[in-house]
Amino acid sequence: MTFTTENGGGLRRYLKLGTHPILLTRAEEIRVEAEGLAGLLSWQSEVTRAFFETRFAPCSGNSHALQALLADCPRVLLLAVTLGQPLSDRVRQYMAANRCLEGYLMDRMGSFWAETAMRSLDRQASGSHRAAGGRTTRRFSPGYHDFSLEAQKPFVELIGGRWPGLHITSGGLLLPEKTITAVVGVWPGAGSC
Amino acid sequence: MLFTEEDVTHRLAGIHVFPINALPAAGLVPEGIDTLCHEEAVKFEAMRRYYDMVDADLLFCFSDIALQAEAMGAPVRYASDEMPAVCAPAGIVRVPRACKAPRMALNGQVVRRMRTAYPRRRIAALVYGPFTVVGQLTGEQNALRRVREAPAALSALLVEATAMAEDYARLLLDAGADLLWISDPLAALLPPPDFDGFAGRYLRQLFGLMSDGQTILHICGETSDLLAPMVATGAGGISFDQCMALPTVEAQVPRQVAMIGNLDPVEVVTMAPLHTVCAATRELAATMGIRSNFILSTGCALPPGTPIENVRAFIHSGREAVADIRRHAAYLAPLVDAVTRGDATATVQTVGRALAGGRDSLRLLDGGLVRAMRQAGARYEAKQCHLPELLMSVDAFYEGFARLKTRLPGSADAGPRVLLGTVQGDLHAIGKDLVRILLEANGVGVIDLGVDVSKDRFVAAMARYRPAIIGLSAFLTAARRQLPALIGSLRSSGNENLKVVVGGAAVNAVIATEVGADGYARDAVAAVKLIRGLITDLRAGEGASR
Repeated sequence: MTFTTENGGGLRRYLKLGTHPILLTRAEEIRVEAEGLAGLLSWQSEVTRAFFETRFAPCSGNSHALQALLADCPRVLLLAVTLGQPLSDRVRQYMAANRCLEGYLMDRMGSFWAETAMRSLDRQASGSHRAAGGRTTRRFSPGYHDFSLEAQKPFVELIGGRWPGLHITSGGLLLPEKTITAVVGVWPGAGSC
Repeated sequence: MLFTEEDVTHRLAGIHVFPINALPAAGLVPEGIDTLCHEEAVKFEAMRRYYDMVDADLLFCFSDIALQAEAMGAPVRYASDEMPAVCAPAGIVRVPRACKAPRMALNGQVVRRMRTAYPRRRIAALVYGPFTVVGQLTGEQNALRRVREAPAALSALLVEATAMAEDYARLLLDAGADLLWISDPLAALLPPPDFDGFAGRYLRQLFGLMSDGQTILHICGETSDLLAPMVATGAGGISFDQCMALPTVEAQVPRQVAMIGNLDPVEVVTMAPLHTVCAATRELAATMGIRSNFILSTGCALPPGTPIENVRAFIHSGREAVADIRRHAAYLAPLVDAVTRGDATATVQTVGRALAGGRDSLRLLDGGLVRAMRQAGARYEAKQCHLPELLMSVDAFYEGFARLKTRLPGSADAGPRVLLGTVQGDLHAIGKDLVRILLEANGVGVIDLGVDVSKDRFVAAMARYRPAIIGLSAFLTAARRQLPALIGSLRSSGNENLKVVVGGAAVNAVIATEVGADGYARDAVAAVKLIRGLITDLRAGEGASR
């Protein structure tokens, strides 16, 4: 995939690369390097509503937006993706060396890929529920609206040692930086296991 | 001799610095403006006193926007301390001969006497454009409404206003004016597709009076969208309002057409202290003077109350600065082009060639690399490029700077310094890093404390580095909550002139005010603009206190 192919078009538009030939060439070089550094991992777990409310208290109960979204759903899907630490380290190296085009583009590529991976994970998990006659809500992430960043803590505890290096800062920020977590409400269908 | 004309590409060679119109002359005679408008001797005496003191390359006869409309039938109000103004729409529109219109005839006589008094200096025949004159005759809103509702009637009036303008221009040119200057401020409000039909075609007709290209068009306001049809009028020079960022439009002005502008006539020349006038003039000259088609001027007419010493400072410092930068334009212009294109290879090669030719490294840095970054930033602000293109320029800047820095004199960074950091608990780095890199590329010294910076570290760094400005980045709401206490601590640490600016996804302009910051920037380019403005203010304050 390159920025000139159809599949690369989405990332090209996201990065606002336009048609500048030198820029496209350099962005392509950065993309190849970034792909080599991105170690995509994903994790999902479906839990009961009661388990979710216990583990994510008090953040869950305090978030009106989340409670409104989940409504009476009996189960909750927990989703997480990460690209790992090396890509973020390389971004920092570029910025420290004043190579900000490389740093900026690699950072944005990381965001795009993490978001794309989360979307794909959500689509897959929610899709299987829908195929079984169930329903799912849209996904909702800690830090949005009134759903506190503190909710990252139970995610880290649940994912545990599966992802080496995953931790949370005092400010509630997940590291590695290109890590996304989300919650999806589930009403299982008759065919759901 | 300060200037050589060999590198000048436009048709107005010999004109380098001038302020628009000559309204400050009104303050040099005891009579009021009303008398000056009607007494030839008074008006000429004001012109003579003004231009004896103001060594401009282009002279104007004190002119006002109401004159042509008055000749065509609009009633005009006069006062001793105000410019003449049309006070009601014209009843019956007429087109008298210019020589029969008293104030036109008077201006012709004054120009004739100026020609004799200043035989070697260029004199402009200042005429207002037909669309503006119709706006004076009918009311500006009416004129604009007629573009849609009564285009035929509007065109008929425009034909008459053009005939009047042409006759008046001929009168002034016959009296000895060398150059036709048309100001058409109301045309700035025309939708671009309508510009040619209701302004451009008539301006083209008027400029046709001058076969040698000695013509200038001035339209006030933001004219980016009108630039192509303005150039198509055939004007030999385009005069830009102070609101325009000239680097963003220079590529659209052909090299044979002069770019004229655009120091702020009110905020700077009229109201600012002398040293600020000089500094702003020098900065404009240094930014645009590498363009062979640039002429330094004001963005509009200087108002009547402008201090003459400020006008003289503008002319004097501007003439020196333009002459100085012109001597280096041959190697600075390609360097600026390479950086703004984001071509790192060409940047390094151009720097290498210039150094091999014995060029001054500081000049290459300030007049080439930093100037290019200002242009790139201005293009981004004007939405002419996206961030990646701007960052290409930044990378090219640093490639050139790396080639240059071993040749730079030590401790070149003597200006106010900026302390940057992302507040405690927040690890977002990239926005803050971009601000640092862009600030450095704009010649501003930066101390970057990194991310997750505690209040104690900020306060300790304040004591150690004594920055003039602190930039705080906050992307998390938790980080934002710390800002009031943090800013309070910084302000109580001894520097009463300290400026604090904030940025990041967790803040906005309203929050910035609430937390006690002096400013907010939505992105890195806006941060650079904000901080450069604060530095200018700080320097002005230091200059004033000396």
